[in-house]
Amino acid sequence: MVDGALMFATVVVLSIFGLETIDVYLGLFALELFVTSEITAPLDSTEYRKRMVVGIVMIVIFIGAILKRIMILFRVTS
Amino acid sequence: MSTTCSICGAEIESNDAFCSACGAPVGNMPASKVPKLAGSRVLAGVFTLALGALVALLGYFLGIVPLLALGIAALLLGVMILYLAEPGRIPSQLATSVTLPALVTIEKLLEELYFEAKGIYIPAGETGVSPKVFIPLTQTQLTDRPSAELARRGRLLVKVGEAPGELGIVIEAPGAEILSQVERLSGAGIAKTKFDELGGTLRDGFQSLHVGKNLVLQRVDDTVTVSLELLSLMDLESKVRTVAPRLFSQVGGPVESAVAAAVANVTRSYVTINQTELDLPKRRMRVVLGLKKMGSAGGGSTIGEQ
Repeated sequence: MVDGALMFATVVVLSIFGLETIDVYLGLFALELFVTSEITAPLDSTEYRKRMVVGIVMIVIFIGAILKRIMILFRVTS
Repeated sequence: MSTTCSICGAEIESNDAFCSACGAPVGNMPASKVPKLAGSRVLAGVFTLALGALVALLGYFLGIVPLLALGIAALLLGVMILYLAEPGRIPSQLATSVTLPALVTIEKLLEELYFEAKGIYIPAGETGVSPKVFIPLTQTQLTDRPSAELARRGRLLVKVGEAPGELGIVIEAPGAEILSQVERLSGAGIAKTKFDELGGTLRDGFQSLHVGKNLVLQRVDDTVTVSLELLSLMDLESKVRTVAPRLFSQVGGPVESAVAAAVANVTRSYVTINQTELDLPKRRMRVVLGLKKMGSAGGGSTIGEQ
């Protein structure tokens, strides 16, 4: 479970730096999942497909968080 | 004290786990640990998922972003434990009991037809034919270099020369299915692989299939030595040695056979398994293969065509 260890390490490191934006965490989690999927290859096709599904769901959540932030910015400027 | 096999009726020693005549398992097989492992994985997944959800909610309502992120990380880990759970593997002893009877049948065939020579792995090339082993009745120049065409015929009994003893049998390599799974994972036919890349292809493939790891392949002239650490099939490999010793010494067990077939295809050489060692406690396997370049291949006709 390289992904899990990386995600927890990300939380520890970013919280030490006092980062308070959840979209950065989410973006890094998605990135870590894709990177670990590639470096732990070869995986069988079923596992690879499942990992891609989890990764895509995480990216969708990340995009949602970014859109929310953009909306907030628009509301502030208008 | 001895009992009799419920399948073939042969006599079985009390400490035998398998029938030496037909390979059927004796008595009840010990319960597999696999379901227990699967159960504990589900439990760990659900626990991590629930804990993650709780921490994430706590972080959200308290407005502590690192706590929320920690919860999401635990939640994702829980999802991955449950969703990316390892696919169910066939328990080792079940794989043995399914495979062994077929190998014992070939053992009996070799014994009753007096086939005693080493099996020769025929390089099938890029024809898509599954790897085959030719076991000659007698060793002559023609039977030492059987035609690669024999692998494509799909016949059991084949004649390679005009002399009475110049015939043999062509059987599926016991490791054919392992090799085809490795090919499927690597996304290319083994025959298209260069010899320098073969070690890496087999290492990755065997590891993905949970067959073995740390595979090292070395070639010195016409000898290829392969060593690896087995992750599974230990049960089958050790049983083949005792229940089908003739087949094992002539053709090899499933893992040795997969390696020999791969080397035959990549080097375009006839391959024989010259030596094999299995260190059960360390799970180490070492296979020494002999290569004979394809030159002027012998003939080959099936008995049925005569």
